[in-house]
Amino acid sequence: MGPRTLVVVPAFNEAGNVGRLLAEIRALPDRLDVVVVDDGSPDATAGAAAAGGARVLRLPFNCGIGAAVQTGLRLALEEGYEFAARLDGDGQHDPRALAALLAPLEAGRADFVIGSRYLERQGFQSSAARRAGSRWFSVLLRLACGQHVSDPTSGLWTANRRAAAVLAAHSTSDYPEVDAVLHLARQGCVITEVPVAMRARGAGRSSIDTPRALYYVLKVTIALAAGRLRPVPARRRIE
Amino acid sequence: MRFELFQAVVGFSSLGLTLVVLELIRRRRLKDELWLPWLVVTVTPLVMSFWIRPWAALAHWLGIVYEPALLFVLGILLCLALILYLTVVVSSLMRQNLRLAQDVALLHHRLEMLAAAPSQSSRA
Repeated sequence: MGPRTLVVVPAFNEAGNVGRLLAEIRALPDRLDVVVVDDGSPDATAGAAAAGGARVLRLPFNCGIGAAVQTGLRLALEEGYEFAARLDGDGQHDPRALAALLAPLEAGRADFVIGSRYLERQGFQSSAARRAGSRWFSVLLRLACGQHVSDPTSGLWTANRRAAAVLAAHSTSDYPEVDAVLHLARQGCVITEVPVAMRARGAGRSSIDTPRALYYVLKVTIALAAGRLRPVPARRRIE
Repeated sequence: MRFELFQAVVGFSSLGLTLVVLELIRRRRLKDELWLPWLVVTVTPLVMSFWIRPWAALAHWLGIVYEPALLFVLGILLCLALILYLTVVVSSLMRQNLRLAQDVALLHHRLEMLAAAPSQSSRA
């Protein structure tokens, strides 16, 4: 991987997972810069990340995963990184997938590359309810912007500076993935997917329980409808 | 013209609230963008309580048998409008707060890097 890439790891209460993830990133054949964005965790996430050799951005309070990722993207843009990647701090994303995710960006074939669990059914598969939710968002996205995405809720992706600038300017605090795809598509970014295998999370529990899952579906559906009705903002000039 | 008791109650309550709002404006406890909606909410019932005929006509036109009920309907609608307005203001503050939190994190990180830089160069 020639061009400089910043891996953004949003983390909230992931002290038990983030060290292992950082060790996996360090073990990759290509050297990647990593920033862990500690989203106001009350546990020792920031300390574990610093001990793991990552740069750490500490949000003063819990701002939501979208804002945490956005903070990392702002750092990537300010420091002139060519590409940014997102890996979640819970260990579900395998850093070895990054090479495949960065390849379309390096070849100039895409602005935004999503790691999809559903292109090839491999690795840990989420529950039937979550797959149904994901399919629902796929249909909505296709209706809203004509973009086909098999795994719109995937938090494993890479972006070039153009896509990173769009995401850094567009803020959604919680459940930002689907809304981000709509926004990127409407800004004319080329979006593609590559198959990835996800893993079961390491320590701790997922924050999405049944009531939150229902809120997720409702919130994202309304956000998509509202996003579709908004005028497309002027395209950003990327320096 | 007969002055009903409910008019006195509504009138004095609204007058009291209006005076409270004016006092808060005088003490700069209410910000510019926020005092105008509050004055609308407090002055409207005040006007309605004294200038009752057009409101009674409006109540009849709307099919409201008990005219004072119109006051409650309008009061609830004004309160809802005020809450909506305040929610918009809070949403804007949340966005600004988020941006500031991100700036704090980025600047704190830059400070740490600057603080670490001289010690690294002196070790070298």
